[in-house]
Amino acid sequence: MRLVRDLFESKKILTAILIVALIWSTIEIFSTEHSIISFHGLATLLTFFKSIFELDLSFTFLMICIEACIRTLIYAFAGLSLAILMAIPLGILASGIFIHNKYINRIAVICLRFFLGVTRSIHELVWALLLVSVIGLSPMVAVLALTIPYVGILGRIYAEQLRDVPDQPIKALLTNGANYPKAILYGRVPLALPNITSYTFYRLECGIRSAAIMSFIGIQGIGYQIHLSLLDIKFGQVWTGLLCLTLMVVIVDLWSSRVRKALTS
Amino acid sequence: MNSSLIDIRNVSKFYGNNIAIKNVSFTVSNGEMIGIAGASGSGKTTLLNMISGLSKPTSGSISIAGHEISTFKPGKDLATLVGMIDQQYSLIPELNVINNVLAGNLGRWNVLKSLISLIFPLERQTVKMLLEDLGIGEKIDDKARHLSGGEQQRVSIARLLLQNPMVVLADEPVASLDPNRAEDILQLIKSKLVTNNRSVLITLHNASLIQKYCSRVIGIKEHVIKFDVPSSEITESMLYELYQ
Repeated sequence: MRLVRDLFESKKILTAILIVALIWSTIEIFSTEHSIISFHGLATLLTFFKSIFELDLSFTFLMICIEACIRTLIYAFAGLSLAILMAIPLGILASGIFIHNKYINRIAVICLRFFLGVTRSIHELVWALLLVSVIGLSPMVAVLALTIPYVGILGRIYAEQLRDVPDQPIKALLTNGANYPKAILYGRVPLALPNITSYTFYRLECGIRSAAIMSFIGIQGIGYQIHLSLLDIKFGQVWTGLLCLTLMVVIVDLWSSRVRKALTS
Repeated sequence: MNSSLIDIRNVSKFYGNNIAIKNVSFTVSNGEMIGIAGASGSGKTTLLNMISGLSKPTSGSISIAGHEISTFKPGKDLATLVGMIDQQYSLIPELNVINNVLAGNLGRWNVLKSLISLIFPLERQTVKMLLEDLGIGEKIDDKARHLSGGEQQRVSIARLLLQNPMVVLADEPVASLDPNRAEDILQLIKSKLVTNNRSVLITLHNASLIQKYCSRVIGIKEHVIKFDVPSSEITESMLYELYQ
């Protein structure tokens, strides 16, 4: 027993075993018999990348793409707006800065953090699947499927940002006659606003991407157009769709940096 | 008028087993500027925090104009009694000067009016006059964090003038300013904030500044009062002893 233990404790032997295992598994991956990686799709992949030069820029398809983009944007905006409206009060309560009865505050913070945790731990696509089975294939599914997890994500971030502001200005406001709600308005909100805005814009970007992939459950939008073109093996159209999606995210990013600049200047 | 504005009796404050201030008693009359001297950690800030009503004494009583301060919660009533200015962190750096000054009205305004004023600042003329009087009228729309240390303290003074409390507590208000700016600010505190109906309690590290601007000095060492004398009676050895 001791001999075996000594053998395994020797670093060199262990390293040798690991290297052999690595080489063996690599050979197995590429062996023809039980191959894990297939190169059959390589030709398709090449065609896909070549078609980047064959963008479908026809007026009809561009109009379809623009309409689909607007639809995706509306889902993202509506979903995020609802999430912001709910995340603000929930975030304030979950931060533990609003209720000043120690026990009620602790209970409220624990309950809300649990609620926010549950909503954000389930992915928006899963929420969409659940919602489709309840309310059918309607645009509301896309909006609500974004809203529910985003309330959890934004609520938590808002709570942390509002709680973690410096104490001194808040203390000063309290001696100026502010009660706790007014200290939040004049102190915590302005201090936390640049970070909160920046994070919310980042979430808007995520929301646009998420709204786009709602196509997997049949919700219309730019993702749905990309999906349809892919099924028709029209790679030129797929690239046009991807370009539109990227353009949307870039525009939101530019807008977000302008707003952030205005807030921090 | 010589009635006692602040009455502090046998005040002690403990944090668990740690003493912050022990058995402190003194009174303050109207129109005084009182310096509180002592080394770091001697309990000066704890004392000011208790007088401000933000922290409660473990034992003893603190009253301002006959009102027991520990019974107040932050809000309108407390704000008419006591206001505070500290090293430089009293302002909200992200808000512009006018809103920082108008925070002095938060005790009088309800939440809705406070919110409206945050978006469309009210009483612009009043604030403008206050700031011009303090020499920074043109800064009214600047963000607080773009101001120099001295300018920020002027904004804090304007805020206190708007709040108009009976007692002003100044915790190291010139600690981060250069000597000339420090004297400017102390001069303003003395000329604008000390009135017939208001007194100022100020903590300062610089002993010569205390002697120059304060009428009376309370020396605190190791959590207890060592001396409480008119500043003309202060000697080098008393101060040396205090900071040893």
